[in-house]
Amino acid sequence: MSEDLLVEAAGLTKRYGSRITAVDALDLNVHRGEVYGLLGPNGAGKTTTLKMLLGLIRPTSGVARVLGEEPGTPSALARVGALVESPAFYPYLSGRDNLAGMARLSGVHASKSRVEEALEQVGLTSRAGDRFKKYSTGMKQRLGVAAALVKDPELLILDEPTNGLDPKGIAEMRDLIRSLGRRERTVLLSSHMMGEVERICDRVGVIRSGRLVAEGPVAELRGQGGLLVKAEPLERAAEVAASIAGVEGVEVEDGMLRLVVDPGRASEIARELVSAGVEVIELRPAQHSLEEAFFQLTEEKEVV
Amino acid sequence: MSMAASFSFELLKLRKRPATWVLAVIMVLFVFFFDYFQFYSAITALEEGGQDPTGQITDVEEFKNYLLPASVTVNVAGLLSFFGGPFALIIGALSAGSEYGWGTLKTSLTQRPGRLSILAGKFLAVGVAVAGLSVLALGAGAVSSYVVAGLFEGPVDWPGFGNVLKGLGIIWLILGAWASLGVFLALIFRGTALAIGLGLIYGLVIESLIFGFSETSRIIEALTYVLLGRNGGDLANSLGDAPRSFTSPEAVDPAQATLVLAGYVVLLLITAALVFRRRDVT
Repeated sequence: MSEDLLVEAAGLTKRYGSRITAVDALDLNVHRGEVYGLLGPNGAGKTTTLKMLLGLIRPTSGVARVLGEEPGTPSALARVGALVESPAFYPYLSGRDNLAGMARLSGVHASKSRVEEALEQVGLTSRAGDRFKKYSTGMKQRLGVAAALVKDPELLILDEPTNGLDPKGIAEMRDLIRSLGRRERTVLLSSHMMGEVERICDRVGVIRSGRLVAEGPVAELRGQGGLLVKAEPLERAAEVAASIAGVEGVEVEDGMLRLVVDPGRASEIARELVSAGVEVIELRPAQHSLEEAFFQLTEEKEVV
Repeated sequence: MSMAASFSFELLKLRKRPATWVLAVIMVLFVFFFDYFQFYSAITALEEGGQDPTGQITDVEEFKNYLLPASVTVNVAGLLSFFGGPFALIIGALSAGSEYGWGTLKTSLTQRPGRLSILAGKFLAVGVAVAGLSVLALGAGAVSSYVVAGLFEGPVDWPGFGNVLKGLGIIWLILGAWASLGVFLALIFRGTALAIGLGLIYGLVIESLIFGFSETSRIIEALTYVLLGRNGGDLANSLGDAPRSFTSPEAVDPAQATLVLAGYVVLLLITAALVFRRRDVT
């Protein structure tokens, strides 16, 4: 495994019985220092993938290495902080006691000071003495992140970290994750929320029905969605554009034409339109939003 | 180091968990009411020419002695060999099963210690909790017997140190075997409800049924020699003269009973470890 690769999975598969394949031959690479987002609709296999990387679930086939180690081994887990699904702690213990216990399990030296640091980091110091069951959803989520941070890990694995949070909580959590990513810590997070991934992540893997269908930097995934043309008369412009070789599609959208064509051919398209007597008012590359790219890749519309 | 960390965290969890203390208080009240107070009332009723509501007192003087401090170890151990099992089983099942209900198992497992360290820490901590319960129950018995001795104007002769130590060991082993069953069932069923339910059905119904039918078949009779209840009861009665028995008049040899109970602990621990080590945490 390369020094630069903190997570490496090849052909990772998880089947339940002969009918259900939760994760299907997934290949995944997460590089040191990046914030990587695993994006997919609910039930796509994101949590199962993360659980396999943490050794909670055994893969049916395929291999994975986390920090060069087999997933779930104490030596690997010592350098990984994780929050999987909803944050789970002992309801009758205080936030501080829960965190101290987790620090003890992590084998953290000077665990008392690390616990206080982690509480401070997530802004829970003032409520650390309260019992976990009294916490709001946002506070529970922050305690979950604190537990992941308490061992000062090289790699953070966060499963839907903004789940259940109100808009303010979501914004705070995004800021926190971004700040963690800036400190040369590698973050692997899963989400079904495009906005979240777009704002936080350097690189995204799109997962559908357990398979990684696309992977790359956010900008690359959004891709160049052709050309947007504002022209008069619009109907004539559409006819001319459709007749140009290489234009694979013409759609009218908000009083403009969206041409499915290589954006590098913009000047050629403009020339053709003008020579056909069309007045070209505006012509610019059209960029897909990540949401559009995601829908295209997953062919599902129900994801928000 | 991982197992020590797991053990100390498990101890903290058991110590701070309200359910542990609720069970401990109920157990103390159980010793007081369902053992000493009940038999004291029955003996008093018989001495005043009334009926024995327990239906167990055949010889009043023998039972009087059974309630005095000299018999505290055999008395409390005998009671707990039958009625203590459910308490220990619940503690064991809660300790392991709640982790699934709260989802805390995955939080702990993703820290560092490794599955076997977590399991070993849990078994050890439950063992310590059960030892605490044993001391508490025997202490409750000692206080009760002292009060009864005062009421009956009987002698306050305490059992020897060796007998107390042996009594504590026997109570601990009996409760430990039941607690192990609780942990095991909770790990198998990944929760508390079914584990406690089935454990109680086994302890209170199935063992009694097997015992009840033991005279009908040699195989069933042989089966009674490996029952938790019978071995625990006969081991408890080896501590002194016991006018009551929850099992058969034909007692299992104490050494054999000790081996059977210890065997339960070891077997349940190993099986639990084998299951827990490989199973997915979903």
